[in-house]
Amino acid sequence: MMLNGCDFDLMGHVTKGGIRVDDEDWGSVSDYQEIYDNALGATLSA
Amino acid sequence: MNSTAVATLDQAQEMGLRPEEFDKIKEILGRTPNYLELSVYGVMWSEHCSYKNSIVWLKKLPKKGPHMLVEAGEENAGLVDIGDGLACCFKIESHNHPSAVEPYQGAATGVGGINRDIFTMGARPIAQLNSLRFGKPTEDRTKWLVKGVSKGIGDYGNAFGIPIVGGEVYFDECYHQNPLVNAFSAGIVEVGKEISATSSGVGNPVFIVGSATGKDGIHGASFASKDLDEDSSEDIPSVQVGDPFQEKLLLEATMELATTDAVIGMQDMGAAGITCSSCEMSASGEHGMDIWLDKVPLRQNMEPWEILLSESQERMLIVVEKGKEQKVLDIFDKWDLECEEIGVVTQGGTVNYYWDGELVGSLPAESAVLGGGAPVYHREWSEPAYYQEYKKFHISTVEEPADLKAVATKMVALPNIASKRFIYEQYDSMVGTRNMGTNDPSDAGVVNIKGTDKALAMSVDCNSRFVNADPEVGCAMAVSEAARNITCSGGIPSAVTNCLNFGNPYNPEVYWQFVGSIKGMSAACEKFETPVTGGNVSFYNQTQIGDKIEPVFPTPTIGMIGVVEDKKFITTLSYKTKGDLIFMIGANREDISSSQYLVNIHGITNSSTPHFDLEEEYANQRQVQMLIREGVLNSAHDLSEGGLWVGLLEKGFASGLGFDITLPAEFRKDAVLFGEAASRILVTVVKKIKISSST
Repeated sequence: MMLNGCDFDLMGHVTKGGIRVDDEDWGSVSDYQEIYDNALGATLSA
Repeated sequence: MNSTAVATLDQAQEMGLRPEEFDKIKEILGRTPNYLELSVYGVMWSEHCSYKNSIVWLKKLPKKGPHMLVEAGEENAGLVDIGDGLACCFKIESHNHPSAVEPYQGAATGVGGINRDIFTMGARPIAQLNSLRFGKPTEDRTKWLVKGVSKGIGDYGNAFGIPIVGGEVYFDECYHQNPLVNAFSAGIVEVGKEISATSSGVGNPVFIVGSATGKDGIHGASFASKDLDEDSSEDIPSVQVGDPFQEKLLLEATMELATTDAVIGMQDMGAAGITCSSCEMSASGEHGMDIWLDKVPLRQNMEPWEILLSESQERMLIVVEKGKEQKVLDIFDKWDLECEEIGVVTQGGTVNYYWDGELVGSLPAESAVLGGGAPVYHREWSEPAYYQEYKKFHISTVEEPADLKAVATKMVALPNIASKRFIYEQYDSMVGTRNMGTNDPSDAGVVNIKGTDKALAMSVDCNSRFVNADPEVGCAMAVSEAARNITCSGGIPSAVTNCLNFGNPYNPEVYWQFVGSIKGMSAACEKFETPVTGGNVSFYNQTQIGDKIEPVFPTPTIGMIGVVEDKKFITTLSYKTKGDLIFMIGANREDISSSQYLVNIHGITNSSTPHFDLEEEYANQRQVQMLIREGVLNSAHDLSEGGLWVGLLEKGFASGLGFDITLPAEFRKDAVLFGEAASRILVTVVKKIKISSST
């Protein structure tokens, strides 16, 4: 496919669940999801 | 208070009118008004009903578009042709002040009111969204407000039976005392079957239908048109009380009524109750109206002026074609709702109010309404000092953190980034069978248009920190973000409704924010060919921070709809398959201005908007729209709060899949990961597809 004058970058690819940034292991999606899903509820319930 | 007692200037000022406005009323009537008449002008000339400090600028917004059937200001809500003989009727409104003092009923009746605006036009509501803003989530007041508002929205919306398909929630201390509660509703009606909010035909009877009238909400419109302060809790009687089950009956009765030939015009009773509907319908139809207040079904003993000003919910005023009254009576009897003939359409433009046969108030309808005799003011504005100061910010003054992974973890937990499931799980998103985003969401809410190949995408958006930093750019960014969400979902942006939440318009710096926002909105709406179909202005939103009274961030919430012309184009945000390639449409930039990262990790609040270019934004969206229609993309997700990092994660949260990325070497990593430059969309494609540039 062609992009008509738009900037674009290939950032990487999809993995099974792991997260790597510049070849460093940054954990897994599930690690962050636990925090993401519950952080606000914990604050508002405290 | 005696309705027919001669009114005084003190009473006028208590109602929020200015001395010169009181003089103008005397000039219109040729005499001093009585208390009832003054009450009518008091609410009709309130900011909430008259838009007296905003209408000059609202008229500058683009209203025309190829698919507009009803333009802004013509009816209760705008109407957009979506093809297949159908039109979408949609609108957003605020219920900020009521929610600040009584969050449960304030939010609930906000939901009820916006839905009534839709079905009053003969359209069946099919989806709701909301845009909410509160103070810091650690504060007890915020917890109380969040609990009450979300429960109010959930209880009313769930019982009413229309799915909530999207929305947004933000936290900032500027909303501590003055939360923003903006409710959006969209409905569908067959083209040509819509009901007008007008009155005509001398001798046609006027009916009040729905609930009986009580003392709730009296002076609610005036309450919404003044600053909130420490005494505002005493205004709780100004807050209406909602009954969603009654609203559901009213909806079904109205839908049935729309199939008959009995209705000349119909108007919802929201702000200012019978006053507003009788004056506006009469002015619109260039007729008069006699209203017999003693015929209005009541829940309690009330004075005539109280009946006129009551904002009791779930009521409509209907002008019926003479001789067809029984059809209307039968329908409302079937649905067990009040239906009482309380007046008649008359020659001329005078609205007369009677009590037991005695004339208790009389005024020219046109003199009371927006677009007629209601005041119109040109306010002064001045650029605040912070505007230029914010522009001095440069990323070089911020040290890049050594441990970006630790920062990334903190980012995910920030209140404006973390999941809002604690709130939205109280809402019924699945009632009915129209919500197409239940299992695999898109950036916008996507709703099935049954019997056609089409779907409707809808979104509400505003990054008010951006608007505060630069109202013109920030508001253009809000329109663009809404369009981007529609685009990422497979739709083409179609039209806009807005909810303009600002501080006190008599503050020149607040008015500067308002004017800038209108300019930015106009530019972006012109570019996207998304006319503004209507909306709502809410001034007088402010909060005490320390010893100072500060306006809330200027928050022009944009509600946008778009048409997905074929359901096969619906695109969701989640990663689909391991190995798919992740592209970012739009440019990486070394820009962290006004980002959640800059504010929350570095504690710097004084910066301008991040990079935004309207032409670039439009081109990127057009590109994604084309790629979706060529079947190239298997997911799309716009970048907003939290930037690339949060965008990548959110795509993973929806599917459980992860990502392996390489950051561009020429930029600071924190800026690439957490910056919030606009116009960027993350897409995925299967690996075999090659992407290249034509330039």
